[in-house]
Amino acid sequence: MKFLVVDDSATMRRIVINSLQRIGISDIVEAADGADALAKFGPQIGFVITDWNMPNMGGVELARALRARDDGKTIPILMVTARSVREDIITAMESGVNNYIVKPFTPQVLKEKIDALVGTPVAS
Amino acid sequence: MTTRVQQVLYDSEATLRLVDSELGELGAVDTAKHLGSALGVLPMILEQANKEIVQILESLRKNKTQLQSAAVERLQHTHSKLEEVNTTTESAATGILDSLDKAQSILDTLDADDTEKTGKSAELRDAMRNELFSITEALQFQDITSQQIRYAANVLVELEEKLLSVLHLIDVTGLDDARAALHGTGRGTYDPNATTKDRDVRQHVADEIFESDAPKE
Repeated sequence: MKFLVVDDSATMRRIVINSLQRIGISDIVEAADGADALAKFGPQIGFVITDWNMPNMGGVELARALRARDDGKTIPILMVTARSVREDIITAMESGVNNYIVKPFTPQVLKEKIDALVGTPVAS
Repeated sequence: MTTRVQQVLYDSEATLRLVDSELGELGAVDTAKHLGSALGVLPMILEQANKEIVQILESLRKNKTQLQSAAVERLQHTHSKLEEVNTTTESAATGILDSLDKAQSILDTLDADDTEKTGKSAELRDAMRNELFSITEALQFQDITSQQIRYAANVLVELEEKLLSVLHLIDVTGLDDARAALHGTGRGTYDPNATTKDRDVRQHVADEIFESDAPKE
């Protein structure tokens, strides 16, 4: 399964990718914002990890856009963001995000959320 | 400066009241009797009023220049300094991540050489890997602080916009460049509440919300 990591911060993309690699996930595509993610999205993508605040298109808009597509209706979307106000979390959930991690995060939390969404442990 | 402006304003008000009073007299009293003398005084009064208005405008222009240099220019300088902090920390974080990747790669090479992967050295390599990764994890601070800085920079931009509006009321000259510079200011995206504090508590809130909405089996 290919993971799509979406974040406008190059540092955060690397940290998320390093965390994924640490839990055994290495098939990863990067995108710098929601618009870039939509351009890179396709049948090969099996999981989306996205930030919220990004230029051009944010994470919530990306989730809505993916849910509006036939091939994006059921794709697991995990939001990793600094936003942690209750209303924001509810907005994310209503936009189609399946689970939510607040920054700064640990690889353990990342693995737990991915495993829960995929249904089985994705890696050792 | 404020006292001087107030004094000039009081003087102008007094002059204008005098004009008003003279004009009132022209209409209310026997015009034939007073018209000649009142009209004779009027140009002098108007000239005095004009001088005072010019003085007020000069004073306001001076204030505008002082406001522009003391406030707007300093705000723009502070804004650019904040942007510099963002760029520098991002560049430093990238450099640290590069070094961490190299260190991990060295550990992988050491692992490959030690085919048995037993004993103290294997344990030490694992411990080293964990330590290196904890540095990677800690670098998330850069994303959070960069959002906090963007928030502060955005507050400055809003302040500049308000000051420019005030300056525009006084004098429109020379403000176009300032407005153009302001519009060219990159604001970026940010969360005004971004913080590194209370991670577990905030994660718990998110978990509660998502669990409460999870489909019941």
